[in-house]
Parts: sequence; C-alpha cells; structure tokens
Amino acid sequence: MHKLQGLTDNLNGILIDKPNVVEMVTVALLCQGHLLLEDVPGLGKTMLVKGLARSLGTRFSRIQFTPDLLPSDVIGVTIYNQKTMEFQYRPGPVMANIVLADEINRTSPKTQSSLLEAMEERQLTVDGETWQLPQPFMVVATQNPIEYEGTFPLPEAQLDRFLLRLEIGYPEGETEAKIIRSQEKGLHPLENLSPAIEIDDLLAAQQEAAEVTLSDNLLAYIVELCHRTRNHSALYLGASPRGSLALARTAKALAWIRGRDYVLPDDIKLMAIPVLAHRVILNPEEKLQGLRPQDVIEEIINSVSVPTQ
Amino acid sequence: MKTGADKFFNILCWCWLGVLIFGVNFTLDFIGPGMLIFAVVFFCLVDMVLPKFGVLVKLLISLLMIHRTFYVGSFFSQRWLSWLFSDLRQDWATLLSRGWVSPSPVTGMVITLLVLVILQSLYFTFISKRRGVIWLLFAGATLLTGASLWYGQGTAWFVVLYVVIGLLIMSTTRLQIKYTFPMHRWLSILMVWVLCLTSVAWALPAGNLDLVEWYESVQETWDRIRSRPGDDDDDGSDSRPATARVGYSAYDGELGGPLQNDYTQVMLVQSPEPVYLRGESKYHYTGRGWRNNYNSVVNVEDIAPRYIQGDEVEITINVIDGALGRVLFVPRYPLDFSFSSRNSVTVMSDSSSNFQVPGGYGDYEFRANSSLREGDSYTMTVLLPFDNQDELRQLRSNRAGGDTRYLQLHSGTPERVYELAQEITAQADNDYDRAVALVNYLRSNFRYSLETEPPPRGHDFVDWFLFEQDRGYCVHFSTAFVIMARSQGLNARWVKGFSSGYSDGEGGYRILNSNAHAWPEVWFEGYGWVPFEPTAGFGDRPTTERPDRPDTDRPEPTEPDDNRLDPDVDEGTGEDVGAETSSRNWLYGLGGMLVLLGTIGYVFVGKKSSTPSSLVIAYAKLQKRLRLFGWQRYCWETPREHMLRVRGLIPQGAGFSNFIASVEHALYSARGQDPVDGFIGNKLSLYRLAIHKLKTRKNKI
Repeated sequence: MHKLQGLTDNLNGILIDKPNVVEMVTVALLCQGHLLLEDVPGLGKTMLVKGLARSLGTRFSRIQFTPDLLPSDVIGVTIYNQKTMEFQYRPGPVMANIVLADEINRTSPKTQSSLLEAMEERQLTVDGETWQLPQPFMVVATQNPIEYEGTFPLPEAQLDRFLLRLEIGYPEGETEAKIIRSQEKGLHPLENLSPAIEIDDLLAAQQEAAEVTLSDNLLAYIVELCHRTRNHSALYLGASPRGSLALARTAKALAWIRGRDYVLPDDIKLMAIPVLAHRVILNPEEKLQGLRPQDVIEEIINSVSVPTQ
Repeated sequence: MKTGADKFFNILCWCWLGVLIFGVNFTLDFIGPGMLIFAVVFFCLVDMVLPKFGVLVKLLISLLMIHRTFYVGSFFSQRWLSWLFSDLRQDWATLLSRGWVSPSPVTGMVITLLVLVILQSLYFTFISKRRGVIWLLFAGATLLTGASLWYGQGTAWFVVLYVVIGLLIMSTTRLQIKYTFPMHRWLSILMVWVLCLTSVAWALPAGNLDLVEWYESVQETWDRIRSRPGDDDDDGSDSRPATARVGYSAYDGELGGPLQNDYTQVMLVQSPEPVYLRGESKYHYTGRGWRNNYNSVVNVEDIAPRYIQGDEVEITINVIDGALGRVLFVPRYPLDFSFSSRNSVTVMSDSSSNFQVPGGYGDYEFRANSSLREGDSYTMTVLLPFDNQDELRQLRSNRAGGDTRYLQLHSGTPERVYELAQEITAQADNDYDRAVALVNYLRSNFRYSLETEPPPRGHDFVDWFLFEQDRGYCVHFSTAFVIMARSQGLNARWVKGFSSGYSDGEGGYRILNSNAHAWPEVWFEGYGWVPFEPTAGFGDRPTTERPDRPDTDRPEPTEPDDNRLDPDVDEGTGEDVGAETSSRNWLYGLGGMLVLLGTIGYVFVGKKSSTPSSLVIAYAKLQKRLRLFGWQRYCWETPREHMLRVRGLIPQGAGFSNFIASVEHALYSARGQDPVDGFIGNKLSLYRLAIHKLKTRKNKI
C-alpha cells in the first residue's frame, strides 16, 4: 500500500475497470508531468480529471478550447480598476491545480502556445508581471482523434511537453453494464468522492518516487531504447533526451506505485509506449500504410535485449 | 578464452582421445607412455589457451619433443632437421623393401604426434558441432578392439574406458531429437556390439583367430621386430608361435631366448684378412642383458692408438642391406674414413672416457651422419694389431683413474658364478692367462646351440647359462666370460658386431645376418683392449688378433634381430637408461597432471575479475538448462515476462516465481542480492529441474 492508495481507489471507482489508465494518471501526478488524453468523446475523460481534482482536494478548472479562444481567455488579463486606480490581474482558468484543457487541437496556435508556455514554465507573465502557478499543477489535455477537419493538431515539438499520452478506450465486457448501473439513478459517483490525500503527502510521495533506485544496466537500457527510436527505419524523428528523461522518471514512479524501491525492466517496458509514442514522427510512407507510432515503439521494446548482468 | 563449460568439455574430449591414443600405442608402442602423456596434456592446454594458433603451436611442440628425444645440437640449427628427414626416408625405404617392420622410434614419434594433432582437429570438429559423436564412438571402439585382439592382454580395459567416456560426452551434448533411428536404439546396438567384441577379446587368448595362417605369418614378422621384456616374463613359456631371428640388433636388454637363422646378406667386406667387425660395446650388466649409452662426440683421430703395433691395411665395406642404418662396423682400429656417397663420421662415446689414454680406454661407437643405404660403401685405413701374447702376459688388467665401470657386477648374480671363476683361474699367475683359462673352460664345457631357453623371471642370465643350461650361443659365452673375468679383477667389456663372414676366395667376405656376433674384450694397462673368443665352435684361438677362418658350413647365429636402433639410446641426453626411463615416464605423467590441475584450478576458481552475485549466475545457468527445451528467455523479455510465459511449462513453477523475484532484486536493485533470499531453495529447485530434464528426455525419446 502506498500513500496514494486512497487516490487510486477513488479514481478506480470513477473509471471503472481501467486500472491501467488510473495507474498512468497516478504516475503523471507523481512525476509532476502533464497528461494528454487522446480519445473519442464520451469515455469519461472529464470525469476522470474532475475526480482527480476532488480526490486531491484542490481546485479544478476546465478550459473548453474553441477556434475563437484568445490567450487571455486562458491565462487571464489585467484590467483597470477604477476604484483603486490600478491595473488588476484577473487570473484565467489556468490558475488552478488541475486544469482540463478540452480539445486542445481546436484552438488557434497562439492560444495553444500560451497554455503550453504556462505548462512549461509553471508561471505566467501578464503585462510584465509574473505570477506563479500553484503546486501541484497538472494539465490534462484532450484531443479528439476523429474530427480533424478544421483543427490545429499540436505539432510534435509541442507534444513533447506532455509527459504521457494515454488512450482510455471503450469499456470492455461487462464494464459498460456496470457503468450504466452505477449512474442509472442519476447519481454520479463523483458526488461521493472525498479528498483522499493531503498536498504535503503528495509532495512527499513525489519526492520518494524520485528517489527510487534505477540501476546502471537499466539506465543503459533506457538509453538504448531511445537510441533505437532515432535509428529506426520507420521513424523520421526519434525520441529526444527529454524522452529518455521522461521514461526514467516515469519508470521510477511506476516502481514506487507498485511498492518497490528499485526499477524493473518491466516498468520501463510498460511506460515506453505512453512516454515515447507521441514524441516520435513516423515516415510518411509508413503512415500511409497504416502504421502507428505505438506499433513501432512496441516493436522496439520487443527487440532490444533486456540486461541480465 | 572459451567459457567454463567449453573448457570442461575440451578436457573431457582430450581424455577421450587420450584413451584411444593410449590404447593404440599400447599395442604399437610407437612412443613412450610418459612422452605420450606429456604430449596429450600439453596439446590439451594449448587448445584451451590458444584456440586460434593451436595447430601451429602443437606442431612446434612436436618438433621440440622429437629434437629433444633423438637429436643432439641446438634446436635452431638446421642440421637435425636434415637428419630427421633422412631418418624418415630411411624408414620409408625399409618399409618398402622389407614389408612391415616396426619403424624406428623417430618415425614412431613423428607419426604419433601427427596423428594426435590431426585426430584432435577431427574430434573437435565433430564434437563441437554436436554431431557424429556416435560415429567417433563406433570407430574408436572398433579400432581399440582390433588392437586388443592383436595384442591380447590388458587392452580390453581401454575399450571399456573409451566407451564409457564416449557415452559421457554424448550425454552432455545436445542430442538431436530428429534422428532417423531413435537414439536409444543406436546406443543399445553400440553397447551390445562393444560388449561382444570385448568378451571375444577377453575370452580368446592372443593369437587364436580363425585365419591362423595369415595371423601366423603376421605374427612372425611382428616377432622379428619386437623383443619386449614383458613377453618373456609371463610364465616362462613362449607365448609366440615363432622365435626371433638372428641378426645385429641394438637392443640387448633381454638375452637368451631361442633363435632362428637368417641368411640375408648385409655387407660385403673387402679386406686382405678376415676381420671381426665391431658395432658397439657395452659395460653395464643388468642380470638379464647389457645396456649403456653414449653422448658426446669426439674426433676420429683420437681413437687410433698411438703405439700399438700392427699392420696397416685398407678395408672397404659395401652395404648390401640398408636396414642397419647409421651404424658403422669397424675392425680394430680404424684410422680414417672415406665414403662413397656424401657422408661423414661421428664417433659417439661416453663423456667420462679419457681419450688421452692411447688406445681408447672408454667405450665408443662409430656412426655415419646419414643413413647408409644399399650400394653405399666406406673405406677405412685400419691398423690390425699384432697382440703379442708374451707381451700381454707382462701386463696387468688395471684401470687408471678410479674407473670401476668395467668391473661392474650385478647384485643378483649368485656367488657360485664367482666361485666357479675363482676355481677356473686359480692356476694362472697373470691376467692374460686367467682370461685364456676362462676362454678354454667355456669352449670345452658348453655346447653351441640356438635352441635355448630364456632365463625365468628373476634368474640371473649368466648363472642360468653356466649351471642350468648346458648350451648357448655367443651372447651366453661372451657375457659369462665378462662376468667371470670381472669377478677376478679383470677389466672386461662386452662387444658386439659381426664375425668375419664367408670368404668368396677373392678377398671379399660376405657378411650375413647370421654372422652377427658378440665377444668380450679385456683391458690391459699400457696396451689397450684385447678381444677374446670364448664361443664354442669359433676356432680354437683365444684371441682374435688374426681371426680364424670362418666355418662355412656351421651356422653362426647370435642375437635376436632388432632392426630398430635402440629406443633407449638417447643420442644426446647421456643418461643411463635402465630404471631411469620408467621413472622419467612417471615424472612426465605427474608433471603433466599437476600442470593440468593447476590450470583448471586457475581457470575455474582464480580468474574472477568481477563477481556477479551467485543468483545471477544461477539464473544464467538456468537459462542454459531451459534452452535445451526451448524455454529460454528471449533477449528482449524481462525475467518476469519470461517467468510468466513459461511458468506453466516448467516444473516447480511456483518456486520459479520466487526465484525470479530474488533474481530481479539481485539484478536491478543495485544493492546486490539479499543474502537470505531463499537461495538454498532455489538451488534445490535447479537440481530438481536437472533430474526432471533427464526423465523427460527418456519420455521424449
């Protein structure tokens, strides 16, 4: 049992039968990274993020991106207060702990960049003044993979800023029935959620996760994986050092969640696709043939030898 | 360096090959066992250390061994190589002209080492590919069984050992499941067949095959070559159907067996008078025969006595039979040599002899530097001494310089021999007359015959002749003379060579194998060595200053025929042969074993640069074991993934999970393994896995 067990249980209660996704979300939280959810609508993305915010007992804000959204709609604006005769900063929705940036690919690049900058810097500069974003700060962005007309897909350079890219996917088996059961009377499971963890505990957990042991042979393994992505024939662009760094950090977090104080190659293999798939660019020919980055990453992790010395 | 398993496998294969080579060498006896052990061990080490240049190094070592054993001089000079080649050519010529005779030790060693190198490569090509081991098993078992049939005693064990080791090797290699025959069927056939052969070899005494005629003729030839001590010792009876033949041989270690005549001509001597031809002399009596050794080389001029008076004549010797090799037969005393074909003379002598004393006090023999072949001849200027009897009567048979070699007696000779000698010589007042008295006694009291019994085990040769047998041939008479003379204080030695042969009336003398002869010489201080003729039927004069007319109708057989140069004569080492050879063999074997053990120890135990934790090692070993079944971890699988995949397949799957958890901890936690981590339990499960493997192998097949 780890400190975030309560949180995980909460999220599992919301997103039924998707423990992997919940685990990934927890990993992102532990690594203080941002999440990109790419999925069809109606799978519970918003619910998940709301649940996360509620479990943390933090502020939650949601930005619905539309093509006509302005940057100031995201980061806030300074206005002139006639009473006090000063310029006052009115914070935008990004000033929250958990930010859900819905359909981030629907807005203009300018607005996108304002959010991404905030994600990167963890501070805002509005009219010359700098405002710190709160701790913890996590952005969960979503992209709709089917409606690409009239969208501004995030360029890969910007995609790099997201720690993980997840797909929730349709519920399987009897899960859908369970979902209907749980909500048929109109009550939403979110209503019953209570905060599961203190912020200080979260910070302590983040620290612990960072101190998990990563042995040298596994470090070499991670580096080798990323090297492979740079040399692969199907990939036009491979993972950057940011990618290998992300892989290392997330592997540590996953090991911590699973109750170990050392990383296993299984952790690395599990994190490889969420971490690396959105950081690589496919060759156009491969893309035309229907190959996906996930497939390439999977092929790579199934070909690099795991160290056993 | 190969891995540890490969090294062990290497050693096992060398043992296997070693058994084969030993077994075959036991019968053919090409090379001494000590040398063979040394060669096998060394080659094995070379294989382990230098897989790449192994063949070259092995050839180099072979050359070194050959040089060390047989040749003098520096290894790096070219001379010995030319000697080697000429010896090999000589043997080849002998083989062609006379059929299968035993090769000289040089050829034997060359063949053995070459075969060792070649066979080793062959074995390894087969075994490392894990195929064809069973063919090697068949072939080697057949060869060894054939050899055991040939030789008879004691070699059946080699077959058994060979088969056992072969099966051991087969069990360690990965068996091919897809044989056209099932493997156990092959193995049963092999076992039954080998058992049959072994029991046949055991049951039948040596020499009783169905094809008697062929076998007897082969055996006859074989016996002409060999006169091994072991054969005579068994129970006193002759286990061979045919006897040895007469002729000059270098080996005199075991004397006294019955002989057959051989009338092959070996030389033609052109001389104004009949002369005895001297091959070599020996001084060390072993109770069964004679042996000693030469080492250093002197110039020929130093041999010639400076003041002995005699006639100077010219004598030419034409070689008819090239089987005598490089031995030069010389009358007493040659002054210089000239050869028909390009050749030169080396005089071998024992280093302690003092050649400043005129007349050549010590033992020496003449050797040509290249082998003599049919058609070669050499001419000598010879001094034939007068050997005036009255002069000799004035002299004493003393030795100078404290040299007691020529008074050496064997401790096993019974006292009655010396008492008899005392009795015979009681009347004489000078050393010359004593010698004459002994000669007369021997000639009158014993009959000449070739049909003698060898002395039984432990019985002194001279005593056997003097008191148990009433007959003998030249070696009996001459040896008895020397021993009895020595007991009376005369410095005497034993000489062998050829007697004067059959005159053709025109100054030529035909020397046949049957003219091979032995006689004694006595030293007279201030004069030199004087020969005597104690053998009955060889004329009636005691000395051979003017050798008697040869008896043309009486055969004169003497010694067993051994066309090989004495294998114990180490030309260049100068050690006394005898007991030292066997102790040297032991030393070689022991040294080789120690070196081998030391290397094994170092390789397996001492050489650990980084010590991976034992769990990691155990995991690696387990992977190898699993690989036999195809359950090994793929390289891109993590240990846990692998475990999840094969957990259902392998036995002790639950234990395996625990094991993997410990392994993961050892590998990835950077703290090393947990000491108390159920490691013992894991070892046990590995052991059970091994047993399981053997069981499933049986079921699979």
